[in-house]
Amino acid sequence: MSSDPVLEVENIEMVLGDGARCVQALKGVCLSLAAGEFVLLVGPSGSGKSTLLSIMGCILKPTRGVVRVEGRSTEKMDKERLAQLRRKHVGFVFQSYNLFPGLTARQNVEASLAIRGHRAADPRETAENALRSVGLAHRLHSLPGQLSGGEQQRVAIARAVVANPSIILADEPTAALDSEAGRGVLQELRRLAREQGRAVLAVSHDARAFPFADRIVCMQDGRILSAGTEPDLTPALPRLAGDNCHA
Amino acid sequence: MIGIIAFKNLLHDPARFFATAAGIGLSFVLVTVQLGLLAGFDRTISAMIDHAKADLWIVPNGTAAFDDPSQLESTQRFAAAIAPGVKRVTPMLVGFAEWRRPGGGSTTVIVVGSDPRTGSIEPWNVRSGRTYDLKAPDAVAIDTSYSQQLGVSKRGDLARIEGIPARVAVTTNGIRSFTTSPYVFTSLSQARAFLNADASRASYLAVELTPGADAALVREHIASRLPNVEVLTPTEFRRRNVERWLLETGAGIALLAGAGLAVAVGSVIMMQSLYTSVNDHRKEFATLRAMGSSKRFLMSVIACQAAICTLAGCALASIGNFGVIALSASSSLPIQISASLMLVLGAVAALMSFAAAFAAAAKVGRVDPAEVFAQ
Repeated sequence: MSSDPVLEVENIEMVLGDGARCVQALKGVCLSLAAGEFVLLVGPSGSGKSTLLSIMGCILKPTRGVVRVEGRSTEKMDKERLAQLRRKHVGFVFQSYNLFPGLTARQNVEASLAIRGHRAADPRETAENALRSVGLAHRLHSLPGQLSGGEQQRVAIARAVVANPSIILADEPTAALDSEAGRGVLQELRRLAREQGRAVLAVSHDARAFPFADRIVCMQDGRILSAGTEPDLTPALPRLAGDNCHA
Repeated sequence: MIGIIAFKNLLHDPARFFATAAGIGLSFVLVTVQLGLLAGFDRTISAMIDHAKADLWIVPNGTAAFDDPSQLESTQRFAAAIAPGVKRVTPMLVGFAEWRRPGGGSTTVIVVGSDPRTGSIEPWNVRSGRTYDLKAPDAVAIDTSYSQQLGVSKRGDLARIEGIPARVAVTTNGIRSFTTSPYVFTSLSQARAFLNADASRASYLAVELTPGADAALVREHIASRLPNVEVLTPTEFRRRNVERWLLETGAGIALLAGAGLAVAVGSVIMMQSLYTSVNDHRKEFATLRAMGSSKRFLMSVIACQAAICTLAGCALASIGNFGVIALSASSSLPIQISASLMLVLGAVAALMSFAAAFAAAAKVGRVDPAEVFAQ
């Protein structure tokens, strides 16, 4: 694991809405993510996890604070520049997979290459290799509707990594999966960090995910309460992860 | 890949895609019918002028259309004939007359009389007989598409025009009139008899020029010597004819309005369909945006969807158009599809596609990538 921060946020504040309905979703959050590290972001609903993930993924701009991707500040970037940054550096894995229902598994992954303008010598083969690496060699031509939840999430992982981004952000990647499929996805995310040196950040309520993480960051009311490894945080984790935490 | 995403987005719901294509197709059929009718009108209205051997037309002052003539002194042709560059000036007599069917009953016809020897205007699309046969007394040429209306169908059949015997000597097919009155061709002298016109009267004088003659100079020369007439080029006479029937009577405006409405309806259907499609795939578009897709990429997907819908609509429309054209071929107003009309339709299709894509793209432009985390 390298200690160089690939993605870092400093003193992030985020105000959502305005007037009487204004909510401060994040209150001075600092977090960094190193290459080869699998970090889990936990906390109860409304603690600001998804907002932080959106900011770290350069989808939302914070009200205050600094976001650095590969050492570059995103402060003065407009929406298109941020999109460009995401294309180049960030791969996303979503809770409900967000695959194109009309495209086959291979085409979904190939679409990711097309969006990123990735100049693979053979995009089809590159996409197939990405699917093989997540154990879906036999599902290349299946539509998402023909795949199980675990398989769909694996396709989503293949789609996220196919263009070789340095950062993988996952939003509740196991929430819709049974325990076996969830374990498979978590193993895959850990492999991406450990074997491929990517920085992986996953938001999760799932206590089964804790043993897979290198670091667990707990959030509450828009702040980071604590951070550490699973053994350090084990006694407090169920409380810190929130009521929805399921073991 | 853009094409595949666009295609699969649409084909994912085949029923909706077919409904979209059918809607666009129907709009195209409507546009084609309206514009085709307009083209058919234009051709029918100008058929006589287009088939006449005339480099210049001498017409009575204020003549509005070929079918609606007044008369001039045919002796003026001698004054016109001496103008430098004139090869021949031929009188023509045109007028409405009552055609009495052999089996009883009558209808109105437009008698067109000219000298068969000069052939300044003679029937075309001849099916039986020769135009030369019109030299014979009582001889007339009729078009078989009006057989039922005229009560005659073949050579030798007899009818009466204004009480004077008329014998079918020539039959044609496809010479139609914009009005409900069929054309009946005959010799100039016979026309004068049918229309009870004095031998010194004519409706028009058709001027043929010698090779290399300057039409503008000849026209100027004739106009300066003949009172109470206008000297028109075929193009001018044609335009006047079209303006008379299409614009002054409102028929053309109604057709143009219908075509415009069809384009508007087609555009709205297409915009609505694409807009709905974008809404249905909002999640996918938000995902693309979250993954870093550029606006250009998203717009390309939308443009491609619009193009696919348009092409599918055009394909369905071409089947419909084929049927409509075939059905109209034997009607009094056949729908004409020319190469230029096809170009116009292509431009209309592109315009509709562009408008629809633009509306849908505006919707996609507002998709928030953060939506992907809010499900």
